[in-house]
Formats: sequence, C-alpha cells, structure tokens
Amino acid sequence: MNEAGTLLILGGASETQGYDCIMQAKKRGLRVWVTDTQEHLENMPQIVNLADHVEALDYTKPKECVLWAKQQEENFVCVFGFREYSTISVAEVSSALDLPGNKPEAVKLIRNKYKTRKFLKEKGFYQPEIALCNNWTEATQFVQQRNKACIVKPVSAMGSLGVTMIQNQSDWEIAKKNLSDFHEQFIVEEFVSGKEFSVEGIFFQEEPCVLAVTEKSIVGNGVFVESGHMMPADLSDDLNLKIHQTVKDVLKSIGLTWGIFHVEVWLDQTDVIVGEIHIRPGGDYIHRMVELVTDIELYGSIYDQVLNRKVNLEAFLIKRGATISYLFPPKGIIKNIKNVEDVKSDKCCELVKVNRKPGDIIGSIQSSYDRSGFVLVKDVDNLHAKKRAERLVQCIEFEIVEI
Amino acid sequence: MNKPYILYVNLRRIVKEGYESLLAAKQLGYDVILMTNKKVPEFAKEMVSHVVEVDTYNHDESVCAALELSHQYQIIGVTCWTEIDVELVAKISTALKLPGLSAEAALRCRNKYEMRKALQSVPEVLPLYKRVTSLEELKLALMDIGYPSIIKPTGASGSKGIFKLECAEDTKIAFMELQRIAQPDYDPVFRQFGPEFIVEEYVEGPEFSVEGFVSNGKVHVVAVIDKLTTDPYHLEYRHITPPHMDDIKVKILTENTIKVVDTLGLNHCAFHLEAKLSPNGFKLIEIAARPAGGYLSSHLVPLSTGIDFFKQVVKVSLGEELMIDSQKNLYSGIRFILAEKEGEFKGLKDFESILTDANIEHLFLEQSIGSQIELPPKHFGKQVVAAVVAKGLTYEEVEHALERAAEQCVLIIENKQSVGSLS
Repeated sequence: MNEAGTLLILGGASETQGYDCIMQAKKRGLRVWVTDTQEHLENMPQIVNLADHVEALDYTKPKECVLWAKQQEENFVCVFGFREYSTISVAEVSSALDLPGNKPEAVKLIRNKYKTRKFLKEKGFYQPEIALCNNWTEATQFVQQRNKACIVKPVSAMGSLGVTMIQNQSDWEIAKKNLSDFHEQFIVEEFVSGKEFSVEGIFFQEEPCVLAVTEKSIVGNGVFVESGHMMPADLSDDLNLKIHQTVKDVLKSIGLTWGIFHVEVWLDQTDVIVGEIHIRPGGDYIHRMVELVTDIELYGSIYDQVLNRKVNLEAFLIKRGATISYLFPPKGIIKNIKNVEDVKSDKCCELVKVNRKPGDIIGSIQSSYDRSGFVLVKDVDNLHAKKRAERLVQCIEFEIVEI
Repeated sequence: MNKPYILYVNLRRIVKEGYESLLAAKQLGYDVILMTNKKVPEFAKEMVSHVVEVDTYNHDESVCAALELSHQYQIIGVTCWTEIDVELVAKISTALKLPGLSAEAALRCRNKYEMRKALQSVPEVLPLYKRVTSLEELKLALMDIGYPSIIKPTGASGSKGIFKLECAEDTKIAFMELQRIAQPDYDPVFRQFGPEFIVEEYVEGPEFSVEGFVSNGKVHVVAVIDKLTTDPYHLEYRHITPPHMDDIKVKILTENTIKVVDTLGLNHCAFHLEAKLSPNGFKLIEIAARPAGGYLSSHLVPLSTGIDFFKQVVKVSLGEELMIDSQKNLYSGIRFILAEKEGEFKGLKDFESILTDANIEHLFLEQSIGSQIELPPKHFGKQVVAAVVAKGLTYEEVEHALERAAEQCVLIIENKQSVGSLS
C-alpha cells in the first residue's frame, strides 16, 4: 500500500486542470484515482495515462459516487474535484468516507443561486433583490415593480449560460430563447451596476485565506461574457482588504471550511456585493493565474494540509502579475489564423489557445463557450501583464470572410 | 524582608512611558526598587520604594549592587524598559537566580551581528549581510551585497545611525557620519560595541513590528503594528495597529517571529521585533528583548487590544504564566510631529482642534519648550517634537485622524528664519 494514500478526483479528466491536479498529488507521493464520464475519459487519454487507476463514474450524481466509493478497498485520504457540477459529489463522498471536506449542506446551498442570496441576505450581507420564478408572468411582474434593469438567469448554470439582461420589452424574447435549454425554475434579480471581480483563495487550517483578487472585463453591451482577467486587481489597499474581509465573512457564515474557493463580487462605489460562490478553483485558467502571480501550488497546498505537511505561507504572497485576454474575431468564416507561434514565443507568454480553425464560423457572443481562444501572460506586475496581453491578442490575426 | 519587590533597572526617558511602567507594578500590588544611573524623575519619587544610584553601564558594579539589595529586600523579579539595560538585567537575573533572559540570548539581541550569526540556522529570515568596521571592509562587503543597501551600528537602537546606500558615492559619506555617531560621547548606547556596523541588502516592502512576550518558553504575539519611516534617515513617524493587511500576512509575521524568538533562545522577556514583508516573504530587521518604546507598548497596544502590556512585562519577569486575552477590537495609532528646521522650540500653535477631536486620545510634547531642535544626521533624537495618539473603529479612521492632526499642529521653531510648519 502507498504510504501517503490515494487521492480520488471526481471529474478529473480535464485538459485545463486535470494535469496540475494530478501531478501536484504525485509530487507528494499520493496515488491518484481519476473518475469521470466515459466520454471525458475517452477524450483525455493523457490524463488517463497519468492516473494510477481510472473509473467511469458520473461526477454529477452524488449518490452513485458515494455508493461506488464505499465499495472500493483503497486507502483514500482525500477527495477532490475542480468541476462545478462535481462539488456536491466531492462533499458527499468525503463525508461518507469520513475524510476532510466541506459539509454537503454548505455546498448544496452555494450550488443554488437563489437560496444562497436569500441566506446571505438573512445573514445581513447586502444582496440585490431576487425572485425565483416558475413562469414569465412572475418574472415580468418582478421587473415592472422595480423599474430598473434586471438579470434573468438559470438557478444553477455557469459560464454565463442562459443569462440575459432585461432593459426593455424586446429583451424578454432573448431571455426566453436563452433559457429554453433549462427546464427548471429561473431567477430574476436586480442588475448590480458595479465593476466585477472574483476572489481566489484556499482554506488554510479551516479558515478562508484570500490569495488574489481578479479584475474582470466583460464584452459589454448587454453581453456578460468575460473578455479578460487581470490578477491582482488594480485596487487600493482599502478596497482590496474590504473585498478580502467580506468574502471571508461570507464563506464563514455559509460554513465552508475546506478546499479552494472562487467567489464573484461586485464593487459598487465602495460597497462589496457578493455574487456567486464556488468551492472549486476559478475556471478560465484563473487557477493557473493564481499559481503564476504567487509561488503557490494550488492543489498541492490542499494536499499538504491533508497530509499534515508544512505549508509554506510565504508562497501565498503575490509576487508578480498575470492577465488572460480572450480572442474575439469578427463574425464570418475563418479563412486563416496567423502569428500564433510568434505570440507563443514571447518571453512573458505562458499559454496561447486558439480553439478555432479555418472554415469555422464565428457568430455572435452568447456565452463563454463562444470565445475563440486566449493569451495568458505573466509579467512583473498586473498592469504590465495586461498591456502585454492586449498587445499579443492584437498580434493574432484572423482572416475572415464575411457571410 | 517578607515584602516582595521588583527591581527596575532604569526607566524610559519619556515621562508617560516611565509613569505607566511604575503604575503597572503598583496595580499588580508590587513595590519597586529603582536602580538607575540618572536623576530620578519627579513623578517616580513617590512611586518607588527605594532608589539605588549606580552606573548601570558598569555591569559588574550594578550586579554587585543588585546582590547587596537582595540581602535587604525580597526581590522577586528584575526587568528593564530600554535597550541599553537588557544585558545587565540578564546578568542580574542570573546572579539573583530569578527568571530572566540568559546572558547569551541578551547579547544576541543587543548586537545586530551576533543576532544574525545566531540566526544562521534559519537563513530565510535574514537579508544578505556583513559585519564591517572600516571603509575598506564596507567597500568589499558591498561588492557582494550591492545597492541599495542599509548600514547601521551593531549596538544602537531607536533608529540611530541608519543610512541607506543607493550608490558608491553614498558609501564614504555615510561611513564618516557613522564613525562620528557611533561613539559613547555621542550616545552612551555606543559604549559597549563602538564603531562596529552591519551592512545588509535593502529589503523592499512594508515594515512592521511584532510585539509580544516569551513566558516559560511560550511565545505570545500580542500585536502587529505597521510603520512609516522618513527618507533617508529611517526615523519612525507613524504607526497603526492592527495593520492594513490580510490574515495570511499576519500569520507569516507571527510564524516567523516565533521562529526568530525560539532560535535566539529568548525567554522570560518582552520582545519587539521589526521586520519587512517583501513579495518573497519575511525578512528580519532586528529584534529587541524589551517592550517597544515610542508609546507603542504603553499606549497603542492597550488602546487597540485592551491588554496592559506593561503589566505583562512585570508578570513575565516574575516567571508567571501569561493568560493573554485581547478584549478590545479597536485600531490605534501614533503620529510623530517632526521638525523641518533647526532652532529653538518655542511651542505649538493651532492645536486646540486636535484636543477636541473625538479620535485623538493624547497629544504629547517630546521636546521641552526652549530646547534646541536638531535634525539628522546631526542628531537623531531631536527632530521629533510632538506626538499624537488616536483610536478608532477602522484603520482609515485612525489614519485620517492622525494625518489631520499633523496638518493642524504648527511647530514654532525660532531660528534666523520665521515660524516653521511640519509634515
């Protein structure tokens, strides 16, 4: 038997986080079992090859995961997941195996946007007015009563999927279309007109510890898809600390105590308003940005705690800046994509992904899945990184044929 | 003979701090014997039971005096309040078999070079450094350490003689100044180690102090205080506690403080550690085995935490277990008012609004009316003319109150020029 024990990753077959999540475990002498859907496993042979054991298991189904985990005769010491839809399963399996983790009730709460807002409001945190709607009549009544812009969105989706801003009558048709794939109740809430940030951190000795605040840019004009992230955010010390404290207070009040968190906040003048709360690393390579701006191994810092090993707190300090900028070519058919290799060779460029190819059709931007790729840059500080990322994005040339 | 006494070796120069230190013993029900090489201040005359006048720079003579006292009085503890007396108190506690710092640990805290040598087993806490005694040695050391760097006397305290070296041209000027300053006739603090210096790499990042105690081997961190210093002479001019920092940075400071205190072997004493938090982590500036001056332990810590720091100093000197529990959750701060020119100090004007400011707790005069104001590098202790202490519910509230007071208060310094303002 392996001395350190085995890490169980629920939903681990992912290109963006799977590799680091596994390698940081192996570095610490952990065996790694990866479970994921059959489809994901088939699409990620490199992850399958890295794992000590692989099993097809639907990470979105907590009961199935618990049943399966209890049947295994393996020395699991930690259950981990970085996918939004795996978080409840991770909490349930950890609880069933009596391993470190969050209480399932706390994770279930944050998976429901409506219940989370209600809970936070009851705890005294400022939250925008919100309604859980069963039909469009309820939604329109909510908006009419307020006479201000509102947001319609699904109860538990992610990646800006199904989100619509309602400013006038014609927006309702767009909202209906955007929500057509979600067969559930939906949320209507007041639009918060602040700048958006996310807060990245880990739990250290069961206390939330903020590592960095990320400044978000969005496409705009009613489209909430993120167009770039800068880390650390360009904030005064006062506001930075205010954001840290609010997020820590919120996480404590919910009862989360373990793992990695990613919390969305708005800054309205000097008021910090907490949005969605996730008990997983930020997507969009934010997890990588955290590691670039600090010296932390994000997943490793969690494993170290599980293994009762010393965590080097000085690695948590921000040492440099990073920016991710997304590619948004104009609408049309891609004829050619140029200069990608030149951008990759830039000394500060960490990663370039272009997920389009000649012949692909570029349409309008509805969700984060409509972005055509990104450039991830690290530099001496945040503003240098941002400037460089913007320049490198401009270097990537899409030849487009208009339709 | 049955009545227990505590032996104080000297008092702090600042009246309010000296008074608070005596009050602490009295409130705990102990009588104080004062061993001093200075004239006993008026406020202290009624507060001490017995005074022994002795040259406290002469350790042998002072230890003998302490032994003689111990035949007449039941001395249950010995403590000091200033840097210069740390080693003597260690020697007295050993001679009288009282709880106290060991002589070796005391030397490690008194001499910055010995301190760094003793910390070689935890090199991550130290900036790159070298000991130098001549200009030639300094030039050689700078070839390794580079610029910017800091040079300071190994045995000084209170920001005396700290020079930042930005380039080769600064080296000779700074060294000449240091040779002038680091002499006993300039300041008695230099009697022991003389013109011996540490040159070390300049560490970027904010500076903090950590205040606490070691009692029976257990380290108690009581407060972290931030610090602003003047450029280029590093005189401290503003402190606020708790500092504007997130919990993880406090944890880093606390963890490293414990590491430094344990490695140096401190016990039965208060400590005042100064460090910088650079992006690469904690770097020690220095540590003293005594309470901080500048009203930090006497006023700021109690205002912010509710902990009477000086009472704990007394308790720790008795070998008592400390039960420290912070009850207040306030911010407190101090702003020193610095003169911008030399001359005769005639007083303050326009300070009425400071006294009626809800956040302001105290306005102290640091120089007597009629005294001569001198600026560094001529003198390092005569630029601070007044001090304002504030408290509040938030860091910003305290910061604004202190800066407001500093703007409002005008120093009247008469020279050949007219009235001077301050910053």
